[in-house]
Order: sequence, then structure tokens, then C-alpha cells
Amino acid sequence: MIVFRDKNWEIRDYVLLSWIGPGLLAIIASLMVFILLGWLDYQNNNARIVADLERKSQVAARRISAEILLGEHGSLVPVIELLNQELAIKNIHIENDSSVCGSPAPETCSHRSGEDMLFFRKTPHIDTVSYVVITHPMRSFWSSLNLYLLLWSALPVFLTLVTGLILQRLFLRQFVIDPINSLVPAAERQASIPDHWPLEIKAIARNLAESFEAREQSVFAMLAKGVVHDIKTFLHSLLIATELVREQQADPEKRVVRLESLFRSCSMNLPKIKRIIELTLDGSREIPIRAINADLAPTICGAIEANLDHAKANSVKISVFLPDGEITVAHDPVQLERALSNLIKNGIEALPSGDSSSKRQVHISVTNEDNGLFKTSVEDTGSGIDCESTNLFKPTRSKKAHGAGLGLYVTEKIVRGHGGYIRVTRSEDLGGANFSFYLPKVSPVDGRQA
Amino acid sequence: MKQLRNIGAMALSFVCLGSAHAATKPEATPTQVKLFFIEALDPKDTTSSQRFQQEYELAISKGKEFTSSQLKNCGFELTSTTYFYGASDPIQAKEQAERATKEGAWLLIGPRRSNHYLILAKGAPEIPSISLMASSDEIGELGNIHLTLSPANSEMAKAAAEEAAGRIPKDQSKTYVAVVSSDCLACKNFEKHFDKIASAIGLKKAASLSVVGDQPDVTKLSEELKRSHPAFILLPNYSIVTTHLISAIHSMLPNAFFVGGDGWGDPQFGFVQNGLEVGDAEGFTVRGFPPMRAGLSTFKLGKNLMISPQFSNLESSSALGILSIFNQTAELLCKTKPKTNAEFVKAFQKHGPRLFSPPWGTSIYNLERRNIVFLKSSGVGR
Repeated sequence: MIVFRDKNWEIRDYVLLSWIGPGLLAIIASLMVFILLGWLDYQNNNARIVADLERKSQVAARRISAEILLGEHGSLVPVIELLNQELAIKNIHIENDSSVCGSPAPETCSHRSGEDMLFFRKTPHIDTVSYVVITHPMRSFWSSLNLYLLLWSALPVFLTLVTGLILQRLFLRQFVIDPINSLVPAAERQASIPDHWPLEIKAIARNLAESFEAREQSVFAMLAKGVVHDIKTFLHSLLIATELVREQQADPEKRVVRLESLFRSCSMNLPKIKRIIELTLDGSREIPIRAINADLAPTICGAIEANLDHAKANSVKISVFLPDGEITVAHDPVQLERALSNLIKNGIEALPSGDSSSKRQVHISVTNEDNGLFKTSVEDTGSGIDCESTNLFKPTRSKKAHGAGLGLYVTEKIVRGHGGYIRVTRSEDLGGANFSFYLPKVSPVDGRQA
Repeated sequence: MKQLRNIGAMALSFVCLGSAHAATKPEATPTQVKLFFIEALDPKDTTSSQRFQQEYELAISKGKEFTSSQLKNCGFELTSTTYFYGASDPIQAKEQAERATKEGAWLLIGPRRSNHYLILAKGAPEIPSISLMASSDEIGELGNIHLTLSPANSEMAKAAAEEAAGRIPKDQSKTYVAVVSSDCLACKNFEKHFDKIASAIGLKKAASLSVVGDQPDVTKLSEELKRSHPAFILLPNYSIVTTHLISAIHSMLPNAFFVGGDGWGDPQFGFVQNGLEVGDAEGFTVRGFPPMRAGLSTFKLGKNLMISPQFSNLESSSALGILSIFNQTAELLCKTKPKTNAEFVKAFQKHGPRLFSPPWGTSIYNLERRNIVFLKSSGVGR
């Protein structure tokens, strides 16, 4: 098998290769069956010929005996000619040597003479022992091995081989090749693992999924190190700036200027640092979900309020539509507000700066689905998003210039932690993106952790 | 006293009469006479078909029925056993004859074919036997115990040769060709006698051709027949072979005239008559049997049968022969009253040749429009 390892072959080629051995065995088996059937046919035919000779010899012996009994009035020669015609045998003659079949003379005996069978039968009712001898060619073994027999011998094996090969290729495609092709999406949790997959591939998919998550954790750990490094760098800069302020004690005006500059820098960078740390920590660890049965409306309002200043600054109008009555969902208000806030923030930031304010809108709505879920949608009037992309919820895949690429990742993680899921489509009403997450009306387990 | 003597004489005579009456009253057990009928059948041959078999058995039944009262009065009762066997296995004639001998046969009625009958005689050499139709010379060599109802081939051949010679137009050469089944003993024997007589009366044999089997290959014969251009073709063969030969030769030589021996079958049984294959071929054949009515009218049983309502069921020459044998056997038994098988053998040897000699001479039948039609009885024979 080693010699085949370097070949650039597909799985089906290796499957075909694996059938060479059984194929050769099948051909050998077919040949053996062919020879066996030929032998049986040969034996059967010759046994039939001998049985036929027994019957014909009896007819001939009786008829010839009658002519012998008639003596000189008999017609032995024409009767033998007639018997040759009627019995369709090669030759009939009379053997007067009583010892040809041994002593004492039996009723019948037979001898092979080359390809011919000589069958001897004693003439009945005749006093002197004589034999009627009929000759008939026997069938040779080689003539029994004909094409017809060969076809019958090989056909079952051939059909078994071909059927086996076809079925194996079909099964291989359905249960091996297709699952392997779908292994990566399944491991990345973009698609569920189908039940019909073989146990081994299911296990591989699960192992891959765990491995991918572990790698993501590892990436976040590295990211966190980077953040810490940045913070340390910032703090170090802050320390140097503070030292400079302290050194400016001689000139109060310069000192004030430096302090104000320092304050602005801190005011501007601290929230950013805080957010980077939070997201990084959330991405690199499991987010605890403490779900309670509560109305979703306050959570939604909280998320909107958190983004109001940002919306105003960007001249974005935020609208909301909630159904009548209480929207009771088992959820962690803090985490879900974060998730929703992320989606609203993304919606605001996705709007192009050149658009008029009338077109700059983010709309939040909640609908009560028939399938036992509440659907919460965040739509915008932006240019939309590639809904087919499978990387939207991957970490570090931001399309924004200053984004960390963790917002949607954390959002999806929070929603999944609530037993829900998230979908991206194009907004039919606003034309931009539509991020919708679905949460069960009653959570299966309170306090479930993502 | 005289009155008393008269009364005494009357009483004595009554006593004598009474005792005489008493002596004839208890009937003696009739002597069982065992007849064995042994005949060859061939499903391919209408002369040996199942219909033939039925008529054969009916003739036996009628023969027993119409002789029973005559034989009863003579103290005899006929029992019959019939053995049929395949015509292609003639050795059975011997085996059946041996079987009949073991079962105490008094008289065997043997097969029609000469070679079968000769083989039968070898199986029962001491039992009287009669063939219905065997005509070969060898029958005569068997002695007084084995007889046949058929005229000898020599007699029939003589009648045939003379009839043939008389029918040849004066401007035509008097040549003939014989086509004979080489496996038929009686056929070859007939040919031999025909040749002898034909030569004596000026007929010349151009060729003698042998065939074998029921449907011989005639392509080899055609050249010889066309070259010889005979006045007639002698076909002394059995019915099925004759039909095949006439059909084949007639298609080659439409004007060929055919002469048969005693083997073409009778007007109701055989292939030649009513055989579509023979077309409008013409010829004649000789037979040892006249038409049924003519034959029956020659003996007592036959006459009685003709006035019975079942008569119309019997048509074959074999039936006529069987009835004749019953008639003559009854006559032999009543005349000689044998008590044992051995006594019957002696009686048969003494009276058989006269009683069972061919009774009807030789008859000539024409082949006309696919029918065998009685022409005349030659008067040769008895």
C-alpha cells in the first residue's frame, strides 16, 4: 500500500483500489465455479448418455435377437441399418466373443474406446452368448466448458462486485465525504451535526469544535496580553506626563495647560480602555448568564438609553416598536442589554456619514413568534451586510475602522447563552441590515450560563 | 297275467325312461378351452391402431358369443386372453407365446406379420397356432401345428403377376421395378415368387431396389425409376411404407402404375386408402381376404352375425379372420371332443390343415381415387 501513498488520488480512487483484491478473488472463484459446473455438466451428460445407451441397447438387442431367431429368413443387416437410423447412434454390431465382458458373461458391460463408449448387451433368447454392441461418442470435458456456462458462472460474482462497488461509493459519498466536507462549518457551530453522520465523524466534529473554541480562548488570552501591554504603556505615558507636570511647578500656567491636556487624554482614553478590557474579558471567558423571568421592555429601553448620546452625536433617529402587554422572557437583563446595546451601536456606526438625517434611522422591534419565541430585531438604514458571510460572529472580524471585532462575537455568545440564536438578513423596511435574535418565551433552565 | 305282464313292461319302460331322463339331466362341467390372441400393435400404423385393437377385441367377443351355445352342447367353453405388444419389438411374440404356454393355452391366434408369427412359433412350438395373415413360405415349413388363414405368397404373387400382365397395354414394354422393404420377410418372399411367375409369363424385371424403415429415402431410387421407365412398380410392402413410396414416386412419375402384395391394408384400415398423399395414383393389390360380407357369407357364424344388429361395427379383415377361426375351432372341438390339451393338439394336427386352410382364395383390389376397391376374387386358393 505504501507505493500508493504518493498518488494524488481521491477517496473514490482508493476505494476502487481496495476492490482489486476482492475482484481478483472473485475472478478466481468464478473460474473455479466455471470449472466445477463444467465438470458436473460433463458427468451429468455422460451419465445421461450411458442411461440412454442402456435403453437403446435393450431395444437393439431385442430386435436383433428376433432377427437371429428367424435364422436365414431374418434380415439382420437392414434391421441393424434401421436401428442405426431410429436410435440415432454411431454404430451397432454383433460381438460373438462371449468373453468381451468377462466371465461369467454379464447382461451388460461398457468400455471406453477413445472418445467413444461401447455398450455391450447380451442378446436375449439366444442360446449362444453374443453381445449387441452399440457405440456412441462421449462428451469431452473441454466441450462442457462453453461460453454459456462461463457467463452463468461469472454473472453472480460480477453483479455482486459491481453492486457492492456502486453501493459503497454511494454510502461513502453520503456518510463520509459529505460529512467531512461539512465538518468545518459544524465544528464552528455554523451548522448542526446531522444525526445520520457516522459516530466517528460526529466525535471528530465535536473534538474540532472544542479545539476551535480552545484556540479562540488562546487568541483572546494573547489579545488580553496585548491590551495589558497597551494599558501599561498608557499608564507609563501618564506617569511621565504627571512627572512633567510636577516639574512645571515653576511655571503655573504651563502646569495648568499640561494638567488640562492630561485630563482630556485620560477622559478620552479611559472609556475606550474600559470597553476593550470588558470585551476582551468577555471574549476570552465564559459569560455568566443569570436569567430571571422578566419583562424585556426595560432591558430594551436600557440599551436604547445607553446609545442615545451616541445616536445624537451621529444624528441617528432611534425608533422602537413593542407588542401590547408584557414581553416575559427568561433573561439576564444586564447581559442581554449589553448584547442589544452592541447591535444598536453597530447599527448607528453602520450608517454612512453623508446621508441626510431623515434617512439615518435605527429601528428596534419585538414580535411574538408562533413557534414559542420572541424575535427582537435591530434594523438600520445603512448599506446592509453580506448575509451569506459566515464570519460575522467571529472575533476580530470587524468591518469598522477602529473596531475590535468583538461586539458581534460577544453578542452571539450572550444570545446563545440564553438558549437562543441570532440571524442576519437584509431589512425589508429600512433597506439596511437586520440583526434578529430569538429567545424562548420560557427559558429551559434558569440561570443557565453561556 | 298278460295284463300284468303288460303293466310290468310299461312300468319297466317308465323306470327305464325315468332313469334315462335322470342320466341326461345333470349337466357336466364344460371343458375349458383356452385361446390366446397375440397381436402386434403400432400406434403409428392405422392397421395396428387403437381402433384396430377395439375391433379386434370386439371380434373375439362376438366369436365367443356366437359359438357359446354350440360349444356348450358339445361340452366346451372357450376362454380367451389377449396380449398386445409393440410391433417394433417382435421378440415379444416369443415371450408372449411362452407365457401363454405356461398358462395352459390350447390354441394361439398369432400375429399377422410373418416374421412375428415365425418368432411366436419358436416360443410355443408344441401349441397349435394360427396366424390371421402371415403369408411367407416359411409358415408352410412349420408343419401342421402352425397354420395361417392367408394364402401363400406364391399363390397371391401368381394372381398379382397374371393380373399385372393382363393390364399392360400391348404397345408398352413389359418391364417392372420392385421396391421392397429389406426388413420385411413376407415382402421379400412375395417379390421372390412374383419374379418367378412374372418371368414365366414374359414380364421382365428392370431393377430391384431395397428400402429400409417406415419412411425410406426415395431420392436414391428416382434415377433408377426414371431410367427404367417400367410398366408398373411392384410394392409388396406394408401399408405405411407403401403410402410413402407411392406418394414420392407418383410425384416424380405421375403415370406410374403400382402393384401391391398382401400388405396395403384393407378398405378400412391402412394408409394407402384414403391417403391424401397418394393423390390420383393408380394400381392394384392382392389380398387373402374378400370384403367383409362376402367373407362372412362363407361360414355359419358369419351368416348368423350378419343378421345381428352389431354386425356393422366389424369391418377389418382381421375381424373376419378371427370370426372364421372361432367358427372352425368350434367345429373342430365338437367333432373331435378332445378332453385335454394333448388330445386337442392331435386333433388339430389331423384336422387343422383342412379346417383352417385359407378360406377365401386371393382377391384383387384396385387403388382408385385414394380408395382400395374390391375388384374380384381370382379363384386361386380354396
